[in-house]
Amino acid sequence: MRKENEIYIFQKGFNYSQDGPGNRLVYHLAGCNLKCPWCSNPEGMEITKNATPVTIEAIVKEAISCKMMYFDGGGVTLTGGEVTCQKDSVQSLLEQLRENNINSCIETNASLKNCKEIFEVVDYMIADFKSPDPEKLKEVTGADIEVIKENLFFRAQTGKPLLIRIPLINDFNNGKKNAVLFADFFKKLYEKSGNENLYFEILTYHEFGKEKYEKQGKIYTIENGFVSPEDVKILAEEIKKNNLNLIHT
Amino acid sequence: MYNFDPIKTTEKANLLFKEERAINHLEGWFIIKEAEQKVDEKYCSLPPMRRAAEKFREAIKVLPLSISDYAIFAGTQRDAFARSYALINPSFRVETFAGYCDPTAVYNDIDPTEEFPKERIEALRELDKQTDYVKTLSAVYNSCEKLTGEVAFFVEQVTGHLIPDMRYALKYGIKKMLADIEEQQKTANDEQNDNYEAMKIALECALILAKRYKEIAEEKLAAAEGERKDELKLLVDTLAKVPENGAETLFEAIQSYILLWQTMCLEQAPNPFAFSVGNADRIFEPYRANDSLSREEAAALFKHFLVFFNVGDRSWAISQNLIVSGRDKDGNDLTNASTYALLDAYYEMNLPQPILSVKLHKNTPEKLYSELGRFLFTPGCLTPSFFNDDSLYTVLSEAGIDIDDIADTSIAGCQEPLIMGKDNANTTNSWFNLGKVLELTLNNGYSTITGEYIGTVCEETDALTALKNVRERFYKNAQYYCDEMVKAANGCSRAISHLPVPFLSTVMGGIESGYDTRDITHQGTKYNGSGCLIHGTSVVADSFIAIDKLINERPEDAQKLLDALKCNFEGYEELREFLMSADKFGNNIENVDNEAAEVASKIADMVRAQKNYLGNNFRPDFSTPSTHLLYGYWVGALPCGRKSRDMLGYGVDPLYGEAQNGLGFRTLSLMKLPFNKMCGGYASHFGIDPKYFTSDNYEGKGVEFRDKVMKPLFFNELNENVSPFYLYVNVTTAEILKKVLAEPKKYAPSGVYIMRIHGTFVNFLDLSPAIQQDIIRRLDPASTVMC
Repeated sequence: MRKENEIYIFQKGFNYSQDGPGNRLVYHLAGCNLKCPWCSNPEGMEITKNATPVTIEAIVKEAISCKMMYFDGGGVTLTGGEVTCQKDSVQSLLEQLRENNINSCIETNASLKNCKEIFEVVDYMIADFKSPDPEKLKEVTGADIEVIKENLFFRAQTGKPLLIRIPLINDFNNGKKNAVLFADFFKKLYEKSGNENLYFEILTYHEFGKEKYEKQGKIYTIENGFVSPEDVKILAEEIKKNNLNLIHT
Repeated sequence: MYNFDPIKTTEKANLLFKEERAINHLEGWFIIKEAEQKVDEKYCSLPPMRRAAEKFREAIKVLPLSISDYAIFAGTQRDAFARSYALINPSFRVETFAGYCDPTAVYNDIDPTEEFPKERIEALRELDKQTDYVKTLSAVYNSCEKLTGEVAFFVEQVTGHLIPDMRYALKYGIKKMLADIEEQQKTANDEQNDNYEAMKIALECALILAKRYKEIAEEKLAAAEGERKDELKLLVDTLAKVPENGAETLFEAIQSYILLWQTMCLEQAPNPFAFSVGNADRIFEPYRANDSLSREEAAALFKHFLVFFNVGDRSWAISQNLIVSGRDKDGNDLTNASTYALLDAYYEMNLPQPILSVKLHKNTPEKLYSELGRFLFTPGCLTPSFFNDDSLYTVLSEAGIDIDDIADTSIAGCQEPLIMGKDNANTTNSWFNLGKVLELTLNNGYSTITGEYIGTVCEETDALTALKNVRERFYKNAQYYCDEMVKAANGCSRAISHLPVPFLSTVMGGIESGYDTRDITHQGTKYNGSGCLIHGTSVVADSFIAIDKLINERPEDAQKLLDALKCNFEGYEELREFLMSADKFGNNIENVDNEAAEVASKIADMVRAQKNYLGNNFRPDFSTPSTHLLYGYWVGALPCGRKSRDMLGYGVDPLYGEAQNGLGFRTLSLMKLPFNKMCGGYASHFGIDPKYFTSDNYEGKGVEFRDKVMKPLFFNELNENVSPFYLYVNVTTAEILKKVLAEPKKYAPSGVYIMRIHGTFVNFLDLSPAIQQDIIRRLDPASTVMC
């Protein structure tokens, strides 16, 4: 039975710059509402399997004890799984981190409704935008593009930092047509919000999750997801053409 | 000036190394000792230092010399070493290793042949046994046999383990040094005068070597053709100039250095382990710049320089440290063109010796990190040890080193920081086993391994009282053992002083002081101390915390715990589980981390307060060069749950398997330790899985390594304490190493797969099986997980 003051965590550790600014203590929260076949942490898809419940109090205590490691603007990052699957506990945790002057970050698929409190309170938000094609997105991941767009607009309009990541995958979202659609949406997001802290990053397909899928007894269905340097170039040029902040963390 | 094709020069360096690795017998040291013995009577009335120099000169005259067809420089240190070093000896076993107590055991390392029959070997061994050195040393070992038998501590006489400063000799030549000595003699007392005469003779030995090599080169030149003729012509001309005169080109500087080094090592034959080069890039850069050699050209010459440090089939001269980069006292970076040329030479040759260290600081250029990426992420490639130069400035200035000398800090052997040419630290003089002291404390002075009484200064009491007062009782016993250890260690230093080292003294400040580096009544070097390697910090801290847990939760089981320790937890598995569940060092848990810091701090203070033979302080050194295995073998079960004869924690690291929360948490625990008190050095190792580094090239991975590993540990701006100053890594996984062992031809076709063990790197395939398994276990992947 899940308790309100607990968060299910299946992995934790430190990382530099790739999960938010500076050096960060990263908690992987269990449970995800999507079914992305390239997921690099498939062991975290189910909320209770492979995960340990930890009280918010214990996490905050641990986060405080690690303050020395938050150099270069670092702090605590919650990632997944999908953090908003445990939204009440997560919101409470984010508020307590703020009370203790610890910079917070979430990595989210931004596909769940009713999570605006989280998107508002977190210091740094990293969100996936996996495909501009509503049907393809729904078919492959199960996500509703309209919910994602609404959430991203909401966050962008707060003026706080938002990094949007595109996992570039062969036969899913690569090619010129997709690149143009990606850039169109990003441009609108920028123009409508006026957020100067809006950043974009292309993540090329990798197979870090492949072995884990097999360990979980699941079938890894992607046959050839690797993209070419040309694919990356096409998307990068579209983003840069619109004067958007393309970064590499 | 050397003006040959770098590619061809590199080919020759490779062939030279291959030729060296084919040598499976080493007798040069025996010839030297025999030659010295033959003239012992002749010089017996001379003062000790003079006598040593005269005997050495006689030996240098008769030592057989040769120059390989692949060599571009003349010189070898092969004749200074025996095939002795245990950890790369295939017959080494943890169970039977008895330390290097017997100075005549080296005669076992020479296989009798027609030329060196058994009778000849034994005759010299018997004469050696009658020397003042061997008699004094044997008396020391006999006096502490009970305490060293199960290694409550160990002591040894220190040969090698110093960093000569060759810069003056390279720049001005021996001729100028001889003139300097003459000048000093004008105001010297009688004893100094005798010593100076000895130093002059010893310096002459390097000139004799040069002359003899020149004659060989001339002979070869007469028969040579083509490019080899040009090479030999250059060699003849160079040997006519150096080391007698100052070097001007990089070629001359390296040739001069090689002959000076060779003389220094031959003087201490056999086995002057761990002589170290020092800040090599700064030593050679003036000559490279004077030559205007490109990076590639300089690297080609450095490749031959590196091959010189490899002796015989297993590179028997071990722990020769060469360090690059670093900063000056104002924080300015001192990386130069020779730094990168040396790195190229190291990477392309990938040799077991000399070991590479890099001094980093907060202003180290990104370029250096990016160039180091290839070392870290190429499987089977050597990796450098890392030193935090910013911390070293703090630690060493607090230890009394002049601020102007600290830029010359370099590493002797594995990880002990010394000042090049000024510091005789007797680094491996004493070895302190806190795990054994705890075992004896808990068992009223009796060994739980053998049942023998070894000693305690605490009164017998009931189990619960003993456990409640375990800290007080432990430190009381530690003080007793420390005192006994220091007496024996100083005895070893007195023993080795019977073997003066006049040549070494000329590059260790002896020309200024007039005294031998090993003199026990006058200080021959600017800085002097004695080392103590401290073992078992983490198991003692974990044990204290486990005892606290038992007292709090199950006080009625106090006697049961002591009984369980005596029988290695057999029949007490549940109790062991309970003890294992106590907090362990290395997971960023406050109480146990603080306990480890306190153990380290108190023992460091205890050791630091001890005085050596000259009245200088001992230097606490928390490193355990594979001795965490050897000494662990003699430690019974401990309250932390560690079983009898299992290893101790490596250096200041958590016991393997006890840090389960990844690199960041382990780093936080480490940073609580009192590094400011570890002026003798310390050891720490991370085994890191390469999968955490995502860049698609070595340069990017090198920068990632800076950000993810080095910056949090060394240059964390939020750390208010003195930051850690040492780390070595192996970027690999247990699975990869198991594959290398199973199919060496597939994974290491060259026969060389370099790994690091403690401060040195070695060919993984040369190692004895016990050490191979230790490396695999201590990769300890759960302790270095990243997200």
